[in-house]
Amino acid sequence: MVTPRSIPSPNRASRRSRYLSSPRFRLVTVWSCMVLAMMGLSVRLAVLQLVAGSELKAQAEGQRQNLPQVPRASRRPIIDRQGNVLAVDRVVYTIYAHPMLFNSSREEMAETLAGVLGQSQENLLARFQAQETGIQVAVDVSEELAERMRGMQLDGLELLPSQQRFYPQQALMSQLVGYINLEGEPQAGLEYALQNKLLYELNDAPLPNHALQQLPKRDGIRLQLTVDSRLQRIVQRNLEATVRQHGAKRGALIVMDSRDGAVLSLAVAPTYDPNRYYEADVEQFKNWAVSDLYEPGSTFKPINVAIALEAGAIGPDDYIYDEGNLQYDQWTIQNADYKAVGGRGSITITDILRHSSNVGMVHIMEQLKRSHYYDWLEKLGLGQTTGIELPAESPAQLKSRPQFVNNAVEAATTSFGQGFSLTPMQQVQLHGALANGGKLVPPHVVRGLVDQEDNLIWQPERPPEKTVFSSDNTKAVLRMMEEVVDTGSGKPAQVANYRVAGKTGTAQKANEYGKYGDGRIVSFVGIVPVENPRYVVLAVIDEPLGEDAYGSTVTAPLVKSVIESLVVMAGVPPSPPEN
Amino acid sequence: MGFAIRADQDRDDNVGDSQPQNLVLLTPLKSLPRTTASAQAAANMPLESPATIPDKTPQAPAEVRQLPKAPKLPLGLKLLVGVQQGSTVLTGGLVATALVIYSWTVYLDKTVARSFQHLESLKVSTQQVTTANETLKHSMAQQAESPASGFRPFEPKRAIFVSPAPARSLAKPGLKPQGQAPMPHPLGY
Repeated sequence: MVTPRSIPSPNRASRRSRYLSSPRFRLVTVWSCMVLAMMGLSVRLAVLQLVAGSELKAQAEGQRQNLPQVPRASRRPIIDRQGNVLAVDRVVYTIYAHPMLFNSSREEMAETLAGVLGQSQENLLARFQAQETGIQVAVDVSEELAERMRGMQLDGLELLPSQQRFYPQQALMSQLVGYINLEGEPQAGLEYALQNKLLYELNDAPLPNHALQQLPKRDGIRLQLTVDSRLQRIVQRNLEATVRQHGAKRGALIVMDSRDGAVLSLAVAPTYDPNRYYEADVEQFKNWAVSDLYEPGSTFKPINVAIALEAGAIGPDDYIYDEGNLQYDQWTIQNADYKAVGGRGSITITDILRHSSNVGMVHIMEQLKRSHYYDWLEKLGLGQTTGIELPAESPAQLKSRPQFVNNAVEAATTSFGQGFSLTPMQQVQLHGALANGGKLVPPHVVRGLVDQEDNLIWQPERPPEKTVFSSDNTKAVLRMMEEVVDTGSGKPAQVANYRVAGKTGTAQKANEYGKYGDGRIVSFVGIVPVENPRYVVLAVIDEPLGEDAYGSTVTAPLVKSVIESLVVMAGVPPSPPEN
Repeated sequence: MGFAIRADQDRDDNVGDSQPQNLVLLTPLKSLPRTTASAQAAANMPLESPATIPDKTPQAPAEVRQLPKAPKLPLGLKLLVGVQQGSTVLTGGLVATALVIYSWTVYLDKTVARSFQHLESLKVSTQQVTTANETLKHSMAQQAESPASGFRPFEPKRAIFVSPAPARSLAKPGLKPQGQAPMPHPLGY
């Protein structure tokens, strides 16, 4: 019996199965599945690209940074004025030996390697037998030698390249250029001060294996200095000879072109070889010509005379009374030659410079109000740095304004170059203003970044030039300084057929207790040629030994020898005979 | 039977003249006898769709009946067909171009990588040459510095300063070339 209710049931089931099996239904199902899948993929793509994109990119960058890349950062070469290379990167190799991988006996390998590397065969063999792998055989192996070893097809040797900074001029420019340590970090000099400019930019390198690697973009740009290495060589040699001869602690010599402040030579002794910096004394890593202060002594007198002339306190032909000895409270100021000569009486300003009279200078500067005098010293940049590119430059030290203005002795000592201190570099800058007609030009050792065609593409920012003296007054001061060389204490600096202006300086050094001790610092500043003043040469020798160690005996001959080479190199013709 | 052959031949002719669409409408192509040689065989075989053979009496001359024409496609459809054909050609072209460009980029990548490596090695050699050159210069300068070498530092008394001659006015070029330059020797032939 079939129940009536059971009749519609197979009917409905068959309709449903027909519907399910219809091609249209299957088509729609497959189609919607595909559309859903595509939509899903699109949404995922959008999420990856738009929402999480930056995060993922950062993550990828992070992973890439972790990979060891270039062993050491590579830097741009440094060249001098003529294009001689002062610092350049080179590839050196560290050689590791893995005796377990040798294809010949260890004895043979030791023999071969000893021949190539110049090491003892027994020593190598002992090390090969002691360890199976990872023996450091040699460091800093040159590219040529590494190439030779590669050509020998020896198994079990590993050559790891790395960048190393090489200084072909060795000790010649170390205080200027500085050095890069074994970890590849700049430590001193311009390498340190301009490290960002010296580093090559990294860019993605097109490598065949599609590995993401960034390599330095060697763009042929170099850092050019204003220094002339030929002159530097002569200066360095003469300076070292002088320091050695007088048993001095140290010395510095600066040659500057006063027209634009370009330093042609900056030599410091003692110096060190930046290729072997680890053997040097830490004290030598700084360039004391810019980082250490000294009391300039008498070499500052021409600057004071220029201030007094410019301020109208004196005229160039005035006479000043020099009694040879002055008393300021408990302080006695006297001329260096007071015991021998006594007071000189009424003398000209030229004579004051010629005999380096301290008392005369005190009287000149007394004509100027002390606060006014202090304004002038500030205007000349004392208390500030010169802005030279070298690192760790010290600002000149000047007494505070109240101390200076209220104590007559402060202004008195300043008038003959004691009681304040500045760097040799700043002293050169001040004398540069005398040479170039009154402009305070920023001294600099860096010309800038130059490309392969020698076009300047970057220049360090420099403080603006500042006119401080009139050219008439600087000419008057130069004539006085010329007298110093012609007939005064600067005679040893005379150069035949050239008009040289100069001033000696011998200052007592303050010891660690703040008192003047036996130590002295002697200096000489020369300006050449007087008829067309351009070059300033300053030599400073710290603590020369011997009783007769003065600016005139130690530094003046040194400056003379430098000027002789300088005029030939710079093509300065002999001065026309004076009428 | 002969008629049947004739009718077949007749139809064959028609097939030759007619459009492919018409052919499809008449009968599947595979059933058509192609040559007279095979006509005999074809005659023995019953035609798959005898209904399509027009009812011709043996006596009456063959009456040519207009074959049903394909229904004319609507303009929109025609346009679509055109678009489809055009896009097919375009797609083919694009695929070919894409393949060419792709292979070119791969080739270019490889070339660039090779050249880059060459350039890098050249730069390394430049460094080496520079280093060697400067080292040599330095050692020569050091040798020259030793008093035994016989070189002496610059001194003005051993130097000659030549002042530059006053600037001369530019030489005026000759106004006219002097006609024919006289020939110093006869030209040889």
